[in-house]
Amino acid sequence: MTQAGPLTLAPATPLAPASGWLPRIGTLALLVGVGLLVLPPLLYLAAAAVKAGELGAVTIGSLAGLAFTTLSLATLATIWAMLLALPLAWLVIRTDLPFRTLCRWLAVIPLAIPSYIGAMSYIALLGPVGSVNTWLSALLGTPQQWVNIYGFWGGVFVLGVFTYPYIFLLVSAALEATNPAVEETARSLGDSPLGVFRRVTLPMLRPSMLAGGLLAFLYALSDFGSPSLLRVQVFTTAIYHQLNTRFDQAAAAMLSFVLVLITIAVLIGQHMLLHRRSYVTITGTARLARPLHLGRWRWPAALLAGMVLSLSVFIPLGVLLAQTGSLSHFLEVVREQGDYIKNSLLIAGLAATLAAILGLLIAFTARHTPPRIGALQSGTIQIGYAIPGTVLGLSLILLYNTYIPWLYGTVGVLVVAYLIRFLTQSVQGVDAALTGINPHLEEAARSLAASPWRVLRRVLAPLVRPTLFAVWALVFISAMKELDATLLLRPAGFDTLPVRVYIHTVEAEYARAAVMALLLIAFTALPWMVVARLREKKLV
Amino acid sequence: MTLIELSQVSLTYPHAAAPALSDLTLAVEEGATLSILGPSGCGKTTVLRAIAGFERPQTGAITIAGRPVCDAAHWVVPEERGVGMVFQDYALFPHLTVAENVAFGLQRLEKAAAARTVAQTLDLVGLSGFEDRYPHELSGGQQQRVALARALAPKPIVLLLDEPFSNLDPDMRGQMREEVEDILRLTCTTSVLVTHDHDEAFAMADRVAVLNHGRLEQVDTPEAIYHTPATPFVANFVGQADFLLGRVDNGKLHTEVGIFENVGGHPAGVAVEIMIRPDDVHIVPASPGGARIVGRQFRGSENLYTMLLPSGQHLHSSESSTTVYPVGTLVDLKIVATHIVTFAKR
Repeated sequence: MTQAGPLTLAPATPLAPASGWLPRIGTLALLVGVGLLVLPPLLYLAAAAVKAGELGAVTIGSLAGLAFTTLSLATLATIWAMLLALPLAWLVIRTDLPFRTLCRWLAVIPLAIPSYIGAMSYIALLGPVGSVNTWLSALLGTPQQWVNIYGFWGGVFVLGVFTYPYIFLLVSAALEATNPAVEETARSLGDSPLGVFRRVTLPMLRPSMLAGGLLAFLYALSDFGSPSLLRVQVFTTAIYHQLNTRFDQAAAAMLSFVLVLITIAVLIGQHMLLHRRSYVTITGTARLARPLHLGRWRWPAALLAGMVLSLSVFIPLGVLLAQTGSLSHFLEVVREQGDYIKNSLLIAGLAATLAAILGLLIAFTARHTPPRIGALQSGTIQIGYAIPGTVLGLSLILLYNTYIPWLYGTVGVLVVAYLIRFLTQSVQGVDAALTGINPHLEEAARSLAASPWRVLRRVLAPLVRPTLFAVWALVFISAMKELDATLLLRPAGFDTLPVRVYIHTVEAEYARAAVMALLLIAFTALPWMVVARLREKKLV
Repeated sequence: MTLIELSQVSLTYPHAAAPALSDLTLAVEEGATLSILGPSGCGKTTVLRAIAGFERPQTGAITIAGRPVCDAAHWVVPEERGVGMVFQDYALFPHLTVAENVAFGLQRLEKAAAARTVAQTLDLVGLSGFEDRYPHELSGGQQQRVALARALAPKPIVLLLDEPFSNLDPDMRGQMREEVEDILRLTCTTSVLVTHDHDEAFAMADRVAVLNHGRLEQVDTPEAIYHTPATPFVANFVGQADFLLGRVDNGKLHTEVGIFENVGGHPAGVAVEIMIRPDDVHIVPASPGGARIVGRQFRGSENLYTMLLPSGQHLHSSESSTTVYPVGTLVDLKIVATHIVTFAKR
């Protein structure tokens, strides 16, 4: 023992005057900042819509027609997605389907293919000047339009094919988590396998079907890219049309306002439905159900699974590869469009970095503010996520054009749009990670005289570092894929990969669009694999 | 000199039906160790958290070294209270080395001075040479030492220990208890130790405060807590106790097993309970005895016998395990009570 004499009783450092745990000003600044980011565009939009209502720029009849088309499209696309997802999920989780692990892995790939790329690939295949029409005309010697993907049913088809993974993911997770003992009990009580499915399994899956279906529905409701490319008149495309062709901002605001109201109604419905029902409970020993032997139905089932995966993965990717053609063509397009690639990477990287930093700060302060203020803040951030990209683009144009013209038409406004749309991904991810940290660590640091900033920098940030990488990657992926708001907000000449895919498709330059689409998928797949790897190691 | 003072502290957690602490008044003397003892959920950890500043009582006042840190007019945040805390799960920073953990609270010291303090403190807890290890590379006992070193390094006014030994193996526990006691004495550290283990409280504390349902039952020396418990709850919690019915007559306390001094000064005629500990009861086999052995628990060095008295009351006796009386043996009882404790009949 080298300690000479007793340690003195006086603390090592003079005690600072008493003050609030979190510097109030910092919390307030974040709160106001988030509020200013998200709310003014929406409020301004509402004001513009009310003014437009007085002008009568949009007739009630056209509004009702648009609402009918939009809602039918979203509803039918959701039903179609449900039909694709449910059998596949059941086959993959509960039966001895051949290649079931591979199927499960492939089934989520469509999430990496934005619906406008899906639409592009099907247009290249089945459009008026698509491959099928070209082949058939050549084969039969009569130039004629045999198939046409354009229109309402094409929209339903494409949206369903590229949103079914939302349902598939939730339903397969629920199928995996249900306690097989419940189903076995029903069997022992004399129910047939089909009866068990109808009376036990299906009711238990209803909450996850509902949750997945609502995600698909909201996606279809707010999507601009695929309806626009497939020439379906819905709210988002009508807004774009009013803004870019007719230059009628008031009408666009009116339409946006109605779309936001519909979205909010759906969200409220979702909240009420999902909070009333409890999810399937996972019991202590989550034993997997013994896979059902399909017997002679094994290969017909495999054919069905193969068809779903063909529609959503093999055909679109095959079309993209076929359209790209040779490596030299690929490289030529890359060289020609190098600037756009750089734009995409730069702006997505910037948005992701800011989102990760802000996400950490917001999640941390939210834990130290009264619950009601924290809920207000997270609610505000989630509103940003729920606004359709086209509407957000319009709101920012209206607001920033009027009040912050120096920001309008710069890359900055794009970053703002991405933050509004994707900040919630980062906040929720970091918040979940912070919840997983032993609260005693923070208390230990505080009892060791650490300031909030020091606690965050020295203890919490290093501990959630894998999560910060993961949310960075998630926001990066989302921002890379963003088309709807980017199309409206990008500075002149500042195109991104999605914008190029869109423009080339509109101009029927499918070979170029395919190269840009493949690049986009590659750039988003890479960070996705990093996230998946982190998830595997239970780091996220 | 009183270093920590809690006066009339009450705390109710949000959405809780009952208060976690009600009207608690406690004092800790400089250089002393106070142990807060009680069953789980009695509010003992809440006391520590209120002293440390992690919970804010709704009413009452707390002062640390004469400085009001919590009352109607003052609130001092944890990082400005100068208290050290050792958590039950140690709460070591998993991404920092042992030396970095210990240095964490020394950020206001110069680098050289901080390094010197880290070395001194690690030496004090016997972990010199472990500076560059990470917490997950240490055994439970070593982690405990790091937690202690980290809390002691900034020379806190008071050290708060929350069930510090409960995560250790039983044989490690005794050793760590002695070591920690030595370190606290050597550094003249004032400390508050929360535990549910009365042996631990008795062994380490100068004074013990027994808590039940957020209320203070008794605060006294370990000996007084054991021998002269203030309430039946304390009597039961700190060791085995039987309560035999008695009646005051002629200034004496008459019970089934003998006549005792009426120490409580109970009035004549009231029903009284007298507390008898098994080590005060000795048994002698007898043929037509008044009591019969109905149970025996072997406890290593001793046997604990359960006797049925003629009235139907039960009484326990601990006897050396060198002789064994089988169940069914009729016995005479000899009560050698060093301290007579009585309560009015509940």
